[in-house]
Amino acid sequence: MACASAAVALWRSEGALALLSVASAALSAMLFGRGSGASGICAIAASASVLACAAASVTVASHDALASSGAVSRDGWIYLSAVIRGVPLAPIALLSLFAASARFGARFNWALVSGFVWLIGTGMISLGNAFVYVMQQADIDSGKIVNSGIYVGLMVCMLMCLAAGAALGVALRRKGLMITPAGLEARRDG
Amino acid sequence: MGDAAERRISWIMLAAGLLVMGAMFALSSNGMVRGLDSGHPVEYLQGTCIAGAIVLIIIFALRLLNVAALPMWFVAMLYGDIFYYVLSLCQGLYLDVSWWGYVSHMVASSIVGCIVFVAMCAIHEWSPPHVTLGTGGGIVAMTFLTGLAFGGIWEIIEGYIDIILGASYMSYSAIDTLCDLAADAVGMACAAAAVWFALRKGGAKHVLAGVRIGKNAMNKG
Repeated sequence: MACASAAVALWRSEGALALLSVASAALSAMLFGRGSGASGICAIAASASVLACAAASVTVASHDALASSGAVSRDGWIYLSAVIRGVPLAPIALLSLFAASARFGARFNWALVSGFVWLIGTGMISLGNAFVYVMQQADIDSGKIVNSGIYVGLMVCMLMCLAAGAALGVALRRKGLMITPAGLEARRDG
Repeated sequence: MGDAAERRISWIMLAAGLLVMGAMFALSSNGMVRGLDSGHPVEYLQGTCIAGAIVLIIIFALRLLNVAALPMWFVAMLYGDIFYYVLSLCQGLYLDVSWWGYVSHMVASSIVGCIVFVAMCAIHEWSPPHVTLGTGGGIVAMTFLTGLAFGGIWEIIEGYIDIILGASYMSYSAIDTLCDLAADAVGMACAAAAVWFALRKGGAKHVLAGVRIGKNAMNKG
């Protein structure tokens, strides 16, 4: 799914989603043969969400379909596209924690998960924007991508990651779980 | 280096830093820096000098009040970056030299990467025993992945400062913002490579040897 998403994003020159698709595929590959049930579900969620968002981004929610046709205002499209890019960030950030755990033996409690999901998600979209520069020169030249839109996109994605990280942290704390090389395990500190 | 010597050096660095920031503020206010001719508004240069002075005060106040101390090489790196940023901005290099801003972003991002790395080492060493970042690779991976966020957060701050103030002090164009983010990513990759070698040399415990928290720890530097 992540590879299909990468193909869609590369075909339609969607820099940020191409990066997220590649990241999802690479992290899933890192978990291959090492993962547990929880990490597998997370890999599927990350790949499915990035595929759905890439498909939406180049079809029903594209600039041509919405902003150019006048279906939504330009500002409305900027916010919508930011939300679409933000959706796969939390699953991919969580997947990267599972991958780090499986590959390097890391163990993350609820506090680290809530902080890291926020920062890794924000970092992923920042890196994604670097790929926008590489892949979407035509959109920048034509004015589809504007400076204020980049700031709004970064801000919306950061807030989405912050909320998702907090929610995941609360959920792990309530259920007494932490991320370990074996997947999700009950924490040992009582 | 003993506590007394470190305190003496901190006082000297703080005084010299404040002197330079004050001088640049005065020169900017009197129209005597090239940055004004390059197009920077005077209040932007003044604000940058004040911000630089505040950061210097925070760094050295933490040490001089015995709250927290960082290794001197690390303090020197931060100190150098503040000077690099303020002086080159006041000289107009960000506007006059096309690549200056991107190189600055790379340098600043690498330094942020080092700060994040120290934080990751602290998480790794000082967390409860059941929490760990695993092997050195885990620390480097987390440094790179989380460190990337700060480039984005900086761009958000730049953009929203201009949106709130209704001016264009720090953001110029979409290309500039995207190139800044790309430069941040390159800088963070450089930092990740550097910290990989630092970890191979001595491990997280070695990195944290110069980090001291609280008055009782100050003599152990």
